Amino acid sequence: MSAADLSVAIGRLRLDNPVMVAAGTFGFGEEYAGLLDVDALGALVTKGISLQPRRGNPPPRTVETPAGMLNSVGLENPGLESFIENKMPWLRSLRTAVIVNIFGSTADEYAELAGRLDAVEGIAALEVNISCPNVKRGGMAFGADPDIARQVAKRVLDNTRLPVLVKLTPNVTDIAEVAKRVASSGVDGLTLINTLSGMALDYRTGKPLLGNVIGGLSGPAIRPVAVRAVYEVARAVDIPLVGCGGICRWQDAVEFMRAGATAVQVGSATFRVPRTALECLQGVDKFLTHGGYTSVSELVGHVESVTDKESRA
Amino acid sequence: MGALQLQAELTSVHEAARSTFLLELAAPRIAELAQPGQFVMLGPLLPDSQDPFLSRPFSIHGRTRDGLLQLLVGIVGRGTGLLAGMRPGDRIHVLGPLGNGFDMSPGAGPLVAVGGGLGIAPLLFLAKEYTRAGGEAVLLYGAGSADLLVDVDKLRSSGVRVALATDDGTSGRPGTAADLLVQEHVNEPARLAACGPWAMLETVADIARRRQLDLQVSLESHMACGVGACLGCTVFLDSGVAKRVCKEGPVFDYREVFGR
Repeated sequence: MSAADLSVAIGRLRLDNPVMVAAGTFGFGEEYAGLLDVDALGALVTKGISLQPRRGNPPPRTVETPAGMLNSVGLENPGLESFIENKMPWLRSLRTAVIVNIFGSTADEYAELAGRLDAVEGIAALEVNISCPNVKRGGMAFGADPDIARQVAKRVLDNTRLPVLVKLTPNVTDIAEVAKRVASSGVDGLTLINTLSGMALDYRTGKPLLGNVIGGLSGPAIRPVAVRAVYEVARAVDIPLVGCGGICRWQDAVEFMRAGATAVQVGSATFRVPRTALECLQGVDKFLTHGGYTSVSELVGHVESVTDKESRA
Repeated sequence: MGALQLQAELTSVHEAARSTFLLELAAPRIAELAQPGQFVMLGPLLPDSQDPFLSRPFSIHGRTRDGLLQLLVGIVGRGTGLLAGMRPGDRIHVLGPLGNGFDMSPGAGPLVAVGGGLGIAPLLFLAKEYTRAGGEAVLLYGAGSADLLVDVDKLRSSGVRVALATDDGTSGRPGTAADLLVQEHVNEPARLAACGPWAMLETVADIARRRQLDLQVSLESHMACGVGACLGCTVFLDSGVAKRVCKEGPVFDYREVFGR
């Protein structure tokens, strides 16, 4: 039995393996360096970076919910300059691919971020966040409008030579429509999904459990929504997809690949078990090898049709 | 100092006060590294289930001579209920020790630890270690009522001077641990450490400011990761600067939190 080839291509971005860690769940990597072999990841996606430092939202910022969690961190980050000066040196020393997640409140800001990061050594790709539910301007408002989403993607592409992924929000009526428009800009791939908009109250007092009242839901609770989004988008576009949403076990990663994802991102599951992404990678590797697959692509989009007989039963 | 992640056997569960359980875990490597004020994350609580989803932070309450890690768990919800229902022999995922811990360097006077409710958890460990290192420690401990005071007999035999208070006066002086700081005779200059409800911390901070005493406060926050990645536990200090309770804390100089 020969080992499967785990490498994947997401447009111009080549990765040694298809399992990454998602933006906002892995800090800038150093936080987890002592707890797992960061270099074994397919890629590390950084915390979202904006031009100026952002203070983020008032506490409490996280609350556990059934099989998941809400967060309203609000993209707290040190800003582009501090990121380049203080975070990039360590990230550059990694062998794994570093994908920088960027966030702006105007299309110009996205363009400027792309342009300035283009000149920075050690970055494998950019991931454009047009899907954060925790900020008032930009974020999800951009990702919910297919034309603006495409425009932002275009501005980023025009200002960098780096491969570009765009991260989509599930908080829309038709994610395939947004995906089609963004794909037409020429981006390398799409990441889906970001968190679902949600909230929780203390039933006794009526007090919101998040300081920002509304936050983003993540964790296994949203996995079926994410799998459905990948499935629908895979049928609507020709570019590679990166599946994300509630992946906790390697079986979940395989499920996303079958739905149409070329690669996956492990998100909040890292919080509960830091090694989750690497455990997923090992499981995917074994699954492919034992199943006789020679590459990840053989599995991608492999959904069996439901037969008449089964659907009648 | 790097944190360790391992599975530890629960060696005992003992109801130390009403709805409050003392858990002892066979985690000798974490126990050895632990500094007073540091914490551990416990979880996944049901390893084969994705619910409850997150791990839970607990202050390190102590370590025994034979390397057991002691944690104090107050039942506040489903996760802590699951922990309290575990039995000796069960295995628990532990990540730690995490956070900065108290500054233990010897001072001119005694160390006075002011703990309210479950805030006793890190302070008994602090007081014991401080005493063991040759310092003088005083523990001022308050709870709502006598049945909520944790293992009072054991506290008294720990070699630390202890004074008690309860809100309803059923044990010790009536009032809070902060009131004890005013009522009890404490040799000055003393160094203070406090952990407990926010209102109690504010009162202790006022006293520290008036008497010009050092005070370290240990803060509590919701957190998802415990290692500084999620930014869920961030608190905004008096200066407006954001700090992660899990990483730059949980112990802060009171002036950073409550202002000068």
